[in-house]
This record gives sequence, structure tokens and C-alpha cells, in this order.
Amino acid sequence: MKDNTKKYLKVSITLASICSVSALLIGLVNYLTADTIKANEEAAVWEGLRNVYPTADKFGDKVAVSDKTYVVSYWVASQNEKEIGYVFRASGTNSYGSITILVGIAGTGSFGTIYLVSSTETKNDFVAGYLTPYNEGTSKDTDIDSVKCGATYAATLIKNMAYEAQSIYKSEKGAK
Amino acid sequence: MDNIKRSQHKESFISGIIKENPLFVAVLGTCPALAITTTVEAAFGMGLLFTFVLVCSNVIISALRKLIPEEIETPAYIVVIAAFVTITKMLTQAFIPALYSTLGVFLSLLVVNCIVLGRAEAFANKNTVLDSLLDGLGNGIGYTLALVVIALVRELLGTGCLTIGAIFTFIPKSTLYILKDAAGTFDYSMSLFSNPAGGFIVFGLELAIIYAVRNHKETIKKANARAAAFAASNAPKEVSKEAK
Amino acid sequence: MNYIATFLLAIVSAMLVDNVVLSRFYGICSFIGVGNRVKSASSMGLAVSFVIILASLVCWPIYNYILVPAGLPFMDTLVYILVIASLVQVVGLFIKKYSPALYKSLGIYLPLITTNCAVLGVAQSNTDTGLTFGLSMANAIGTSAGYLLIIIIFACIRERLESGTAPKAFKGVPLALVTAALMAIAFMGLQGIGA
Repeated sequence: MKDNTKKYLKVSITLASICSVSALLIGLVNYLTADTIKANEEAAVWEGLRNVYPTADKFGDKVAVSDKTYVVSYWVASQNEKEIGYVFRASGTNSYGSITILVGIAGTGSFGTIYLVSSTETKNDFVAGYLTPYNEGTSKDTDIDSVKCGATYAATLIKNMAYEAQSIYKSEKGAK
Repeated sequence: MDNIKRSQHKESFISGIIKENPLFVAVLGTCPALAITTTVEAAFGMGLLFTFVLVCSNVIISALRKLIPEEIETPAYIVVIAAFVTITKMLTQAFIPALYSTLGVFLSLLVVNCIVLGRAEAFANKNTVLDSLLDGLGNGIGYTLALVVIALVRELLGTGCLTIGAIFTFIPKSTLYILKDAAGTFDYSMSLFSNPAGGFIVFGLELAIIYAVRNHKETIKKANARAAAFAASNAPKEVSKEAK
Repeated sequence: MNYIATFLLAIVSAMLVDNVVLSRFYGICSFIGVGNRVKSASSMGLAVSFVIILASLVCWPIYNYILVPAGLPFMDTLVYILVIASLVQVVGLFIKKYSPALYKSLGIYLPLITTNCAVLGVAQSNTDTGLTFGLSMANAIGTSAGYLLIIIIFACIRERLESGTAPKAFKGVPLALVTAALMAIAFMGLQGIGA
């Protein structure tokens, strides 16, 4: 009996020590890399902003938007001190995961470039198949209705996000 | 003594690459082989991270092999492997973010990769640290090679061009157009190979080719053995006849 | 009403459109090694399906109510795999007690469920992509149903293939893979559901 308890004690102590050393190691690496990861994410967002309005030289501060289904924030893009449009960041979840886009809206509410920040769909080829033709097309206001995300997302997700951004833009402009 | 040890080290390193290639011979670890091989760069990156995890876990498990009691072998190995996979995930997310977003959940699935657990249980817990390190390195190189071979065919036939620099951004992005023209005037690529079905087909056909080569080699070896046995059984009779 | 529709759509998507084995590539090792006995394949498929649902049921709350509030989201892989390993042990004990025949037919496959990519893959991707609990469970249910479906179909096909005359180089795994490719092409035709 005593031998058994000694054996169990040895087994549990070994397992517990391996677990704790591993946990400590993971925590250490996390501590070391957390800042780099955050910086990477910020850089990705800036690259996205530049992708939506490549001619802009200044982006205003991020304005957070609350109480909306998809849009979380927006920036004001300006060139030579003149405003050229708004960039909205929208996030949506569907049965497959989340998709985050940056959509540019300018003028009286016409749609601009859509940039995909992240998506967790298994097949990521919808950028080449659906988003790129939209971005390169000339009639974005009518094309927006047919931007498809691929088979595993509802095709209307991106469309809904873009329309919500447009309504926020119009209300902002109308309030001014 | 020294020579035997050196050849044993070499043996554990070389065998993982061709003779006992974990993907093509033992057919283990097939989940990433079908999912990540749409582009050569992603396959290479996956192989690299796999090698890192395998080598680290082999070394640690081999170093601890005398301390871990037999009853908790499997959970202990799983904890060690999971720790290294998490560390790899964080390092990749920090330093090669493009690779992290391409690999997605398959980076976490390295924890349950049959090869890593299999080498830990079959090799690392019985051999020295150096042997385990070499074994891990060999298996990792073999796996990477196998992944790249599948990915080459899939990317070439599926998109018509080979691209580097999309993930490893320190290499300038360059594309080699083979079945496709840069201007788009001709496009003979078959998008089937970029699809999941293409992965199965390419893997199956490559495996069939390897089996065919192996069968052929075995047939030749058997024929040689039979010829040698025949010659050996004939020779003494002739001698005895002549003696008479 | 909309919620139920989304839930059902998520199940159908995970089961057919983005099928766990033929499209998302989880669980391939067990898929190839399932052999050609329909009975043992279906019992293994049932066990794996059960563990997938159970694992997702347990892992999602652990991540969202224990790990994230404690500021340890990076410990998810380690915690999940330990949870799954213990779940498989518990399920094995249950099966051994209540259905010894099933336990015997499972044989070596039971501990192999721990290393099945589908179990950890679904649990991990549920929390990686930030799904709600309802959608995670829909994903898990769809995945298990899809896995069971594919395993049984595949075992039936392989049973027929055994008596066929395939070229020698293709016997065994390559033939299974080419068969899987044809099944994947068939399932590709279901794309577009949910659009």
C-alpha cells in the first residue's frame, strides 16, 4: 500500500513538474513576443489603409464606432489637407469564422476599394476570384451587390458590411 | 567503437530522409501534406516548423527519458510537444506573420501529428540525445522534401506559375511563369490541383509511383537472389561430376 | 427563427459543403487507415464523432471563461490536448463498462482518437476564429456527422475495391487516395450552399 502511494506520488510530481515547466516556458516566450505581435498587427492595419487610398498622405485618428453590427472604427483619409474619403473597418462572423475588411467610402457614399485584413475561411482564393475583379472594376456601386466571398461564407456578408459602412458615412456627412 | 557510433549516427540521420521517409513510406502526418501543399513556400515553411518542433521535442524527451515513469509516458510526451508547438506558434506569429496566417490551425495540429508522437515513443525514449537529434533532423528534412515535392506539382499544374517571396518576405517576390503567361494571353493551368481533390490525386499518384519503383527494385532483387541460388545449387554438382 | 436557420445552415455547411475530411483535411490519418471493414469503421467513426462533440463542448467554455479572463489565451493548445486525452480515457472506461463488445471492436483505435486531427482541429478552430457557443456546437455537430458519413462511405467503397483488380503499384494507400479524390470532386459540387 505504501509502495503504491509512493509510486503515485512520484508519477504525479513528475507530471506536474513537466506541466509547470512547460507552462512557464510558454509564458516566457509569450512575454517576449507579445509586443512584436501587436506591432505586426498595427503594421498590417496601416498597410491596409494605404491599400484602400494609396494617394492619401495622412490618415486621421481612429474613431471608434459603437452599437453597430459590423463596423468597429473608421479613419479619415486626406491628401494635401483635403479629405478624400473614409476608411471603415468592419468585422463579421459567420458559420465559418470571422472576416475583417477595410472598405473605403468617398464622395456622397460611393464605394471604393475593399481590402481584406483577415479571414479564416479554409480556402482563401476568393480574393483573387471575387475581390480583385471588384477592386479593379469601374462600376463599384453596382458591382458591390455581387461581391462573393466564396462557398463557405454567405456571399452577402461583405455586401452587408459595406452597406452598413455606407450608412454610417452618410449619417456622419448628414450630421455635419 | 568510434566508427560504429559514427555510422549509427549517420544511419539515424539518413534513414529519415529517403529509406523511411515519414510521409511516403510510413504514410504518417498526412493532414498537413494535403492541406498546406497548395504553394511551395507554404509547404517549405510548414516543413521548417515541423522540423523545429520534432528536433526540440526529440531532444527534450530523450534527455528526460530516464526520469519519466512508464505509466505517464504518453501524457508527458504530449505536454512537452504541446509546449514546443505553442512556442513555435508564438514565434511564427511574431516573426513570420504571413506564414502564421497561411498555416492557420494546422500549426496547432502539429501537436497531434503522428510523426512527432511516433518518433518520441519509438526512438527518443530509447536513444541518446545526439541520436534523437539526428533522427529528428533526418525525419524533418524528409518530411519537408516530401511536402515540397507534392506542392511543386500542385502549384505548377494548379496555378501555372511558381511564386516565391509571398510568405518569406525577405526574399524579393518573384514569379516563374510556366503554364501561364504573365500578360494572361495563355493559361493552361488546371485549377483542380489547387483544390482539395487535387491534393488527394497528387499524393496518391506520387505514392503509387514510389510503390512502383519499390516493387520493381524488389522484383530485381528477388530475380537476382533466385539466380544466385540457382548458380550456387548447380556448382557443387558439376565439381563432383568432374571429380568422378 | 434566424438563429435556428443559421444553426442548421452551419451544420449543413460543416457536414457537406466544407466537409471535415475531404475539404478541411482533418482526420486523414484515420481515414486512410480505416481499412475495409464497414462494422469496425462505423464503430470507430461513432467514437470519434462522440469525442468531437464532447471535446468542443468542454473546450469552448474553458477558453472563454477560464483562459481568456485569466489572460492566458496562448495556453489553449496545451489545455485542449490534455482535456482531449483525459476525455478519451473516460470515454474508453465508459465503453469498457457498458459495451465490452464495442470496446473489443475498437481495439487499438481508442487511444488513437487522441491523435485524431479532427478532434483538436475543431476545438482549436472554434476558438481561433472567435465563434459563439451556438456556432461552435453547430460546427462540432456538423463535423462529427460529416466525419461519420465519410468514414462509412469510404469503408463501403474500399470493401468493394478489395475484390477488384488494381495495378500492383496502386494497391493499398494510393488507391484509397485516388478514391478520396473522386469523392472530394463529388462533394465539390455542393459548394455554393449558404451563399
